[in-house]
Amino acid sequence: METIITIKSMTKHYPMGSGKFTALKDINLEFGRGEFAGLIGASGSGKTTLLNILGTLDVQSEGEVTVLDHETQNLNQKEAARLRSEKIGFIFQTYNLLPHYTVYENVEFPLLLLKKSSSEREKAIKEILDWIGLIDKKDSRPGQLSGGQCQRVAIARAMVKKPSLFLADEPTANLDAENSHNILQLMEKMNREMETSFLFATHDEKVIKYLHRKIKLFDGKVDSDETVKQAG
Amino acid sequence: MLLRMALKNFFGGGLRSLLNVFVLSLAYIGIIGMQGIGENMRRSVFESIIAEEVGGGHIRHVAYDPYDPFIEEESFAPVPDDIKELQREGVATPLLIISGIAYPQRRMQSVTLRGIEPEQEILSLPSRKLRGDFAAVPVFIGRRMQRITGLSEGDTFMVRWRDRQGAFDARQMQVASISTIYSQRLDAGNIWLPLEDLRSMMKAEDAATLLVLSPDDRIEIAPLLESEEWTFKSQDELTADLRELTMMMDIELYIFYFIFLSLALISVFDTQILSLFRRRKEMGTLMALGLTRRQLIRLFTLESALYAIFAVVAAAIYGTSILLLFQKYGISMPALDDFGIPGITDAIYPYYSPTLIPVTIVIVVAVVIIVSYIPTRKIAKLRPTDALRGKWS
Repeated sequence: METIITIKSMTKHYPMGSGKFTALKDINLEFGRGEFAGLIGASGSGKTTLLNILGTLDVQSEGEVTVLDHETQNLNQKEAARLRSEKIGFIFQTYNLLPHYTVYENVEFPLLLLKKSSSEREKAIKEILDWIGLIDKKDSRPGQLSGGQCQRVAIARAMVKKPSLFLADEPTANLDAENSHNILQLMEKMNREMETSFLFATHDEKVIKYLHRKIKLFDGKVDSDETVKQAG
Repeated sequence: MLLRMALKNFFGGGLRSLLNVFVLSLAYIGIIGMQGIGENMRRSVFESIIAEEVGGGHIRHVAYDPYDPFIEEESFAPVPDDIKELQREGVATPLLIISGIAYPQRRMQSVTLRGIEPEQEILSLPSRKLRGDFAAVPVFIGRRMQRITGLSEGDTFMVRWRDRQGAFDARQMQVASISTIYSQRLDAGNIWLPLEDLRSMMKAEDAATLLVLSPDDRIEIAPLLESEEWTFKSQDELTADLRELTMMMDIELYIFYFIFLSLALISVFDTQILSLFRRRKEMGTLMALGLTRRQLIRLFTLESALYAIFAVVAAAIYGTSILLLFQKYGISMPALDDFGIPGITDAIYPYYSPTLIPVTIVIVVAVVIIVSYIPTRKIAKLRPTDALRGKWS
């Protein structure tokens, strides 16, 4: 399996008063293409911090992190932004859709950043909205959608540019059980059919059940790393 | 792409955007209106005072004091031959100014009698109205003088004066014309009559108090002033007090300008600050999706620039008619008229110069961009992770 993420002796500190708070300590991990993995652990264990570093939204204090052949510590702000726009799809707990945009425009946004032509955009958006079953809602605004529908739009927005890596931070925290399962099944289907890599940060049992690899963090350190054998 | 996003956010802002656009459009209209009034004041004050009184400068009798209400009999003299040459060339016109007492409507009033050549073309005064046959000495007066005296065209009244020998004399005069005289000091208390009539009344042949030079010709004066009886006052000297006056007016107008602009800018600044705090999560999301901080700064600044641009449209829609109405009917200013500011009649008609509107638009848009950029610079220090959590770094 091709390795897409390598983390070596990575530590993350935050300044706190006159001292510092260590959020992650001596992390060593690797992720391969097509993985459906999750960082699990209690609040404050460092899941989101690790996810943010892998998503180039934050930088580690020590150690090396390579994401999709880019050493994140060496990326400047512009290069990091380009990596995010081209190869990384984010899914947030609160969906983070742009409120004044329609479903179509929200999904279109990453393609505009990639300077895709109008016809390319239209084709890709219709395809993805059809795939997630929201084509009839393309002119609705986020305020007119349910939580589950919003999260599906957020997935479509992350997916439309066909990223190599999905980073999902508590994607089901605001959803009921039924919507959570629907969303997770959708993500699993994407992982299966498109070989897209998923990395979750979660403490939600509903999500954990779906994970193929569970990395447990405790007090900023890797406590366990368990691969679940998939049936069939 | 950023413009499209900015437009989207602008229209998505709804009432907030509308309010900003309205406040900014009021600023445009206020600034253009005030500057229009200022421009008119500057133009009318200078133009009318030069056209009616100053011309290209004065050659004055040394004893003449325009601020002395009781003009002395000795403040005029026969015009020397070399200066008279200017008259013949048509580049100077003489005025004889003496004080007298008029008895309009059986009332007594101190007046200044001003003798002017009916054929002169140097001063923009209705001297030609003095030509023709009249039952008495023809005179013209201004509208302020008409209000004071209650005289109408065709009315006759008595004027008394003291001649060179000190003897009092009197003559009947007839109002040939009542005209608009912009300069208050040439209007209220002034009676204009043919120069030769006044000379004959004063028994002062060829006499003049001053000669007004044509503003269009450059005349070498120094060699003409060998006589110690005459002195030259340049246009600059004669308009020095006016320049100070218009400078004061300009300062007052700039204060209004500043107030209007400040109100608009406070509104934009407030909105921008509020927007930055309210939309932190959105900023984080945009960064996560691949927007750089610089693009974010440009986006937020562009949104504010849109307020200024749409305000131009709004001001054009509802402000054009207001400004044109002001221009047509003027703004009543009887108080200013009473102050005796030269060139100001009882109403001010704003003048919108061709540069006024584009310059105002450019200034307001530029200042709005600067003011909205100041809080937006905070984004440069914003960490995406903090923004996503709705916090500032």
